[in-house]
Amino acid sequence: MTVRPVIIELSHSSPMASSMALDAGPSIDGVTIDPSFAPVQIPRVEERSVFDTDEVSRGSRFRVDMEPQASTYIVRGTVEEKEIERIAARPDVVQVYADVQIEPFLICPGAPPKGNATDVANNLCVSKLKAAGANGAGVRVAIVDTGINSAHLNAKGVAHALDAGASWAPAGGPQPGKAAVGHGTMCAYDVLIAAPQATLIDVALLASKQQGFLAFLSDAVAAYNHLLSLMNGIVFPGANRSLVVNNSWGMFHPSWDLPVGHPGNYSDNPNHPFNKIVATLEAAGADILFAAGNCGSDCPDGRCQGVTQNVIYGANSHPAVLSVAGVDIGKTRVGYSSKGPGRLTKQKPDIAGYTHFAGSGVYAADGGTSAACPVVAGVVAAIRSKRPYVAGNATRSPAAIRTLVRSTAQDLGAAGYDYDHGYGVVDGCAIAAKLQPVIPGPFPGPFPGPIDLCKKYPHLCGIKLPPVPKPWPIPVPVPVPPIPRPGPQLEFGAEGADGPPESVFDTVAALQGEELAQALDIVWRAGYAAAREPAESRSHDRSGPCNC
Amino acid sequence: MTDATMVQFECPGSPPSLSEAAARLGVPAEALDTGFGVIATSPAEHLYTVLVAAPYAAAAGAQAGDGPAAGRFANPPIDTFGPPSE
Repeated sequence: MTVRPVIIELSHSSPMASSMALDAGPSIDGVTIDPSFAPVQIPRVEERSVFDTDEVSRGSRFRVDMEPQASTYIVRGTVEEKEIERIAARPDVVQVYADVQIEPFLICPGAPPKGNATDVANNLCVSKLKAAGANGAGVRVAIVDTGINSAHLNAKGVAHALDAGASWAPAGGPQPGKAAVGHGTMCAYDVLIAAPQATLIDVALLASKQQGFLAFLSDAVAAYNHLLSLMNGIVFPGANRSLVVNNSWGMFHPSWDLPVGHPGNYSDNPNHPFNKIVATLEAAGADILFAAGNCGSDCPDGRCQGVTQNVIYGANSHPAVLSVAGVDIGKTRVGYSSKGPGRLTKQKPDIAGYTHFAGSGVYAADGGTSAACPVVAGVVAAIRSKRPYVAGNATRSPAAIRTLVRSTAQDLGAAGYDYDHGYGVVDGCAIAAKLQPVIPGPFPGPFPGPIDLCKKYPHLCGIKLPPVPKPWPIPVPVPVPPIPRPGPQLEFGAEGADGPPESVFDTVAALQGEELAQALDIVWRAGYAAAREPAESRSHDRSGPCNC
Repeated sequence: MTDATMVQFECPGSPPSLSEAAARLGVPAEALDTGFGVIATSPAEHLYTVLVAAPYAAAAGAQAGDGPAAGRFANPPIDTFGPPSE
C-alpha cells in the first residue's frame, strides 16, 4: 500500500464554497485532507482576443476571472496510490496531481557557475564604491596563494598593478606575476572586482611542492615573516600603509594535525607559531582574511573525508582575521561552505562573500570559499583607499575595518549572527554610504538662521572686550564699590582702602532710566575687566570713574 | 627541509642569530633550516621560531622553554580551498 501526497483540484461547488469560507478543505472519501492547508482559489485565466484592443494595447495578454463560479480550488492531502484513479473520476474533481517534495537548490561541487563577475560587481555596488573614491587605489593586496599569472589577467581585460619587489616565493618558486595559471590567478582576479586600482603582491606560498602537498604551514610562517617586513619597512610621509592579506587555503582534515590538547596542536592552539605570527601581522596593521573552508555539511569537498563539524581550523578562525563563508549571487549559501563554530574563535565565519560565478576563466566557476574570500578582500581594499591604516588611530585599525564590514553586512538566514553566513553577506552599498555620508540639504521652512552665541554673549566665550573709553560721558560721576579680588581684602574705611563713600549707594539708587542703565553697564564692564587682569597688575588708583 | 618541525622558543633581549638559536636549543647549527632562519613570531612576547630537522626536534623542543608557547609544534600540510571537488 503506497500512500502518496497529492494536490486535488476541485471545481466550484456549493460544498466547496462553504469549505473556503471556513478555511477548511472538503471531505473526500479516501483522501486524508491536510487541515493545515487552506484551500487555494485558482482563478480562470484566458488569453485575450486580439480584437480586445483596449486591454491588449495596455500590454495585458491574459484575462483573469476572479469570480468564484469561474474558479477552481486546490486542496492537499494523502491518498493510497490505487485510489487516485477513482478519485480523479469524481464529478467535482478536476484533476489529481502529485505533490512532489522540493528542496533549496544548493550549489555543490561540480555545479555550473551561477552568474558572473558583473553580477558580483553589481551586488557589491562597485559603482557606488567607486563614486565614493573607494577603488583600492594606493592599497597593497597580498595574494598568499599559488602565484599570479599577470598575462592571464591582462588577457581577460583586467589591467592591474603588481609590485614585484614586494612579492615573495619560496626557493625555486615562480617569478612574481609569472606563475602558472591557477588558483592564485583566480584569487587575484576576484580581488580586483571591487578594488581594480589595488596593487597586487604575489606571495606564491603554495608552490613549495613538498611530499606531494602544495605547502606546509612552516612555509606560511616564512611568508608572513616577509609580509611583516613590508609592514615594518620604511614608510614615506603620506604614503598609504594599508596591506590586505588574502588567504584562500587551510587545513582540510584533523588528521593532518597533532591531536587537540597536544601542546603542539595547530587547529585549536593560539600558541602555535603560525597563529602567533598572524596576530603579530594584524597588530602591525594588516587586514587579514581567511576562507572558511569547503567542508560544509550539505556537500563537502572530498578532501574533508566526511568531517563537517567544527571544521574552521586554526588561523581560518583566528580572532584577528575575517573568516569568509560563501554564498552565490542569489545570496544563498553554497552547500560546501564550512559552517561555524570556529576552533580558535567560536563566532566564525564572520562574513559571507560571493562565489561560484563565471569570472577569471581559470575554472568553469570561480568557486569555493577560495573565491568568496578575495571578493571580500577587494571590498576591504576599497575601504582602505578611503580609510588607510594609521598606526595608533583606533578608527583605522584592522579591528575597526572588521567591525565596519560586519556591521554593514546584509543579514542572511536566521536573524542576526549565524554559523552559516556569519553576520551576513558583504554589502558594498552600505559600506559606500558609510564612506561617503549624504550631506543634508538646507532646512525647509521659515527657520531662523544659526545664532552666533559668541557675538551675542561674548563673555561666555572668553572674549575680552575692548577697554572702556575715558572720560565716560555721564553727567554724574558714579563711584563704584570695589570689586572683590582674590587675596586679602581691605574693608571699607580701613587704611589704604579706597572704599566708596556711604552716599554712593543713595546716588546710584536715585538714578533712573538711561542713566541707571549706563551706570550699571559701567559696573559690569569694570568688573569684567578686573576679573581678567592678574590681581597684582590691577591698579588700585580710584581717581577716575573706571580705574577699578 | 622535509620532515622538519617548528620549534618556538622564548628569547628576551635582542633577536638571536641562527647560531645563537641553535646554541639556545642545544642542537648543532646544521640542524636548523637556514632558509627558514629565525623568525620572530611574536616580538611582543620575545617568541622566535626555527625549523628543526626531525632527528633533533625532540631535543630542541625540550630546551625551548617552559611557557605554553615554547616547544615543538605541528607542521601540517595546507591546500587551497576551491573550487571544490567531490
